[in-house]
Amino acid sequence: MAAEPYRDSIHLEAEPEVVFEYFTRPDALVRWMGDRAVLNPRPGGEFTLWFDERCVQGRYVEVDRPRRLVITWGRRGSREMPPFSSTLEVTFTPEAGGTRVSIVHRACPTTRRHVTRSGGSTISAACRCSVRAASPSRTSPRPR
Amino acid sequence: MVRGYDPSMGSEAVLRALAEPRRQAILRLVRDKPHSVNEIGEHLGDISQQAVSQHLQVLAEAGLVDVQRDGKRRLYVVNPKGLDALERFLASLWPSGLRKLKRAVESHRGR
Repeated sequence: MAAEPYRDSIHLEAEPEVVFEYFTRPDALVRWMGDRAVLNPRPGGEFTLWFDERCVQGRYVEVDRPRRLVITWGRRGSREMPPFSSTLEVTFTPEAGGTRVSIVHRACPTTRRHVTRSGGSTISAACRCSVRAASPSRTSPRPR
Repeated sequence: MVRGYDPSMGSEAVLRALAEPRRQAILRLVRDKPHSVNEIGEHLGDISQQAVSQHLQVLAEAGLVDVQRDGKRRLYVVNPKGLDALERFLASLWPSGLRKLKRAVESHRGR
């Protein structure tokens, strides 16, 4: 992950409340990403997603339904982007005919022994929050 | 000489490899069938053999192409593992992820 955050956005023809579920409900998330998910969408809650044998691992940092989500994000076994080493920020903005989903995905230095190769230069509020996201979480696949 | 795939280079190497249009064209060529450096150069036109070799080296280091021997000829082929990894990487990230999100959300409206 480059030090510059990756930014993107897309217009969806659905209400923010509906779109938000696609980041917080396992059955909705796997309709567009991964094969299996364990999600606990509250601050500190687990965010784990499997793609075949690969696994994205992180935690929810901010959960502001249906406006904003911050999730720490990394790959199990990845040197470049180990678990919790990057931060995904998703905002859900109502606009004519639906919702604009905007993402900012940035490398995030952590206090763990794993530090991303390029992550040393970016420090954000979201990244600092991710440090406290080490609290235990339930592994229930049912978020609510 | 083209070096092999170094898994530690990971997704950054893949993205860097694909950032160059000529390398995308080379990847499409060798995906269709094995090609030698000369054949790739002829297809692309207006490019030196040395430049083709350099592009191939970047693609090989990213795990996207492999070398096959055909007698004395060295043929470049797509590395399916590299392509799979690329697909998973892209599918796990943006922007293809957002497109899939749009499809998923909009196809389930009014369900």
